[in-house]
Amino acid sequence: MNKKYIIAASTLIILGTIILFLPEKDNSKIDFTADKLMMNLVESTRMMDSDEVANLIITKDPSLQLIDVRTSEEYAKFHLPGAINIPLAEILDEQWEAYVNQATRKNVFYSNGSIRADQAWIICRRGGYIKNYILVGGLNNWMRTVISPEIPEDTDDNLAWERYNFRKATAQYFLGGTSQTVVPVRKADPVVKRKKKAVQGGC
Amino acid sequence: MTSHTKLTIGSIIFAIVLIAAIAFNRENDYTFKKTKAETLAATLDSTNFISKNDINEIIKNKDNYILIDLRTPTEFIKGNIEGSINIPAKNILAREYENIFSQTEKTCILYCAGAINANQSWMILYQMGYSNIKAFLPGYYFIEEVIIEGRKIDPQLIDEETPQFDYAEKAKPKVGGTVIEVEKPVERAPIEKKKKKMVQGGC
Repeated sequence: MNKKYIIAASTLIILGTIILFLPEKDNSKIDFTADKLMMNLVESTRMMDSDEVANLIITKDPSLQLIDVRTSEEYAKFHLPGAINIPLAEILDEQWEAYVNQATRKNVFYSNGSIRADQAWIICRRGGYIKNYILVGGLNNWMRTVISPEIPEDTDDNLAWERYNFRKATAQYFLGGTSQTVVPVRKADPVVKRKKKAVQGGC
Repeated sequence: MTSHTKLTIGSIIFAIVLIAAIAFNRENDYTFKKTKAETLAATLDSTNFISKNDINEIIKNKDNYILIDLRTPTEFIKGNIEGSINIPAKNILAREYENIFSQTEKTCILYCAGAINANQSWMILYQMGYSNIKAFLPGYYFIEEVIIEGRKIDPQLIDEETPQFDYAEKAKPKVGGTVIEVEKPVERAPIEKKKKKMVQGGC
């Protein structure tokens, strides 16, 4: 009887000491792990194609924030309407923190292709930032689709033609009217300047 | 069966379960070893990415490199470089490949069909602390067409981050259309303090 209790108690004491000296697991440091990042990367919801972005620009979606991750020289030459410039090298700068780390707007990163935008996306996601997207194919694809769409073949399905018609409309939006008629400029009436008269009177 | 043996068996089972739980509860292997800032710096460092000129040398000199083909097994079977290993991009975190990435004798070269998977895989592996890995972004088809077959490909089409158009020219508003106003950052004009004039007397 007494022996049983001694065995049981000593087993528990030994196990207790083992637990006592186990290394403490620190969960606070594991913020975001590679397998989670991997899972995020596979998801296609982080990608936005050029039609989707064009639609958001045209409908003047207030939640859209285009972010140009190219250099400032490239940005100065050309950028999408309403885009702000955050070069990839500066993406972690404190001054841009409020832009990339937020939860209300849809940030769409774009560059010439997909790679720089994707790099910016991965680094932002690593920091735990959400609501960031990338423009698939970047500006090269933008020019090929939204700005100068290719006419589909006659044998293509309806979807291709619908897409083409949509892109023709977007091209018209971004490039202005396709008609070559030049509207005559109305001459403004010459404004007669009134001569200022010297202030008269007073004492 | 006496209660003594029952108790002994019970405590042995308890101890085995506890030890098993401790053994399997290993620290998460997927934690990131590099910080965001380090990753950004490495991403901007062009030495981590193999250039088109260097790949020729690497293909000839296979002894110092491990070529890792990130395409799907079906694509890999259709055509691959002699001596390359197929690790589909979604499987790069599998335990069985850990020793390939962690060895230090040879440099791993990652490539896929396009550029996006090679870039993503490289970024994930870099952040996990593997430093002996480089990415070749132009991809497998560049190697096959240009280096093995000796065909010429428009180099601009291979590198997706090179602008393929003069964007500003291509997106120039056409005659007769409306010019879309591009938002400009509002610059704050310096506030000039008005000097108070001395009160001048009336008459």
